[in-house]
Amino acid sequence: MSIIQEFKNNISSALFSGSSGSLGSQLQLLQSRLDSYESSGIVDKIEPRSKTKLEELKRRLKQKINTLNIHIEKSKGAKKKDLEARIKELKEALEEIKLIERSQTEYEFRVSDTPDFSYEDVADKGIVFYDSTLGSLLNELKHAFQFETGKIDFIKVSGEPENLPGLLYDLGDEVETYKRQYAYDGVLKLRVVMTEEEMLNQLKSGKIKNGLGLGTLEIKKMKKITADVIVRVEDSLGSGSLYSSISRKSLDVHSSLGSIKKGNRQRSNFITGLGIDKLDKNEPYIDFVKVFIKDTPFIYVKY
Amino acid sequence: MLNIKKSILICLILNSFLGLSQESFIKNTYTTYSDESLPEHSLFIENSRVLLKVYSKGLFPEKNINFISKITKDTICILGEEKDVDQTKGIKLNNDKLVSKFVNTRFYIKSKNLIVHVETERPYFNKTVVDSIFGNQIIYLVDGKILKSEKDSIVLKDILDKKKFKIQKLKMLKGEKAIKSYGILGLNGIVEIKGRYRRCQ
Repeated sequence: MSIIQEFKNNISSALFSGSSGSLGSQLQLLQSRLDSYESSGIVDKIEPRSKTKLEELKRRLKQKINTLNIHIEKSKGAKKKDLEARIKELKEALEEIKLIERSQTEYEFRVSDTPDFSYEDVADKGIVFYDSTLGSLLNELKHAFQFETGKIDFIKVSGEPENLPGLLYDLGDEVETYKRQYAYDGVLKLRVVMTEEEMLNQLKSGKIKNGLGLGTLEIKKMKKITADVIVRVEDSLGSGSLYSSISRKSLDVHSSLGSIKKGNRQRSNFITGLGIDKLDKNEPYIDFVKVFIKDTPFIYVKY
Repeated sequence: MLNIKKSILICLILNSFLGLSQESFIKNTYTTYSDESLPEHSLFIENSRVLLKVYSKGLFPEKNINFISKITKDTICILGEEKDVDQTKGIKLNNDKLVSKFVNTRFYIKSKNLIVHVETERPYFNKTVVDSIFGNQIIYLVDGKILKSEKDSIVLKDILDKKKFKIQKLKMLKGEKAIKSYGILGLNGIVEIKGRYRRCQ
């Protein structure tokens, strides 16, 4: 928990107890902690080797922004708009990295064949797995930022070795990460499930260029990265999608329990497992979490 | 008397060897098609161990579920989920859909390369065999002839060229339908094409 968050919680509890003495002492205590926090400067909890990678990433991001700015001068219309969107996205990435650097949570980057972002609650550590490319690192770092800002959460499930993505994880979160990756790489290659109709239409029109490699989608415009595309991302044709089990509607800590329940119909075991189905649908998720984690601290979310 | 003892001993050794070979007969990863009810997954079977592997996607980590099972000569019975991780921490989820699809069900061992889930009739193919045949590519059948090699992709290019080939019938089969019609070849889907090459002008 960040110091600011602790500050907020202590004030809330002091106000709730109704004792002015308690509030005063809490404020004094927290003010001194805030002073020492500020004097210590940025709390850099990035693992040392990951820190080097992050510095490289920031340098390369700035270079990419400069390069795209040069291209933009020679571009017109849709291409110019796309370049503008990419620059905006990359600038946002630089800002978001600052927040990750300042986080109380430790972050570590590891190279893996299967890019992923996971959270270990015991060590309060976010682990960013990326496929050695900077595009992939940016993609997964976006998840780290989403975690820092309460757009995604993790839940410890009995018997599971890893914390699972919580009820706030939605398709929009994935769209954001793919857009981020595209902004850096300039092209996004995805294996997608094609509907039977789409496939037949492509075959009839003779537009398939990759011979037998059907199902590959090459995206060259940011606006084409949508939830409809991402939900069909697959490793092999005809396979069922795990993405189809998450909410299409954007969810965050302030979403109502009704929205959370509606968006997670495919994960009803989580809804009933947490007892959300029996609660007031208008209550914000964060209020539910605050009460829930007092007895059973198994939801990890920042707010 | 000694000869009888010897014969019994030889029989016992042979029997134990055959028994062992039956047990170690299945030591492979088996793959199947996926659909709305089941995400992409595979089964790893080794002696009496059955492991269900669901591949990672987005923030969903890879999921490995160990099943308690009993393997006989031609059947694999899934008796329950083996839980070796601390069960006291975290929220408890009831009726995990994925696990419930396998617990108290059976697989019929047709051969080393094919096992069939009895309750759903879903076939699981030896992954090594599948990968060596066609990886994760769709199979094209042009007038009954299979296109699957790199060389065949040139043929396919001609077929997709309206000037060179006239398509008379085009059909796409996926999932269960493809498997029922074409067996292992239908694992990633089948495109049936019927037509004729145009004459050169």
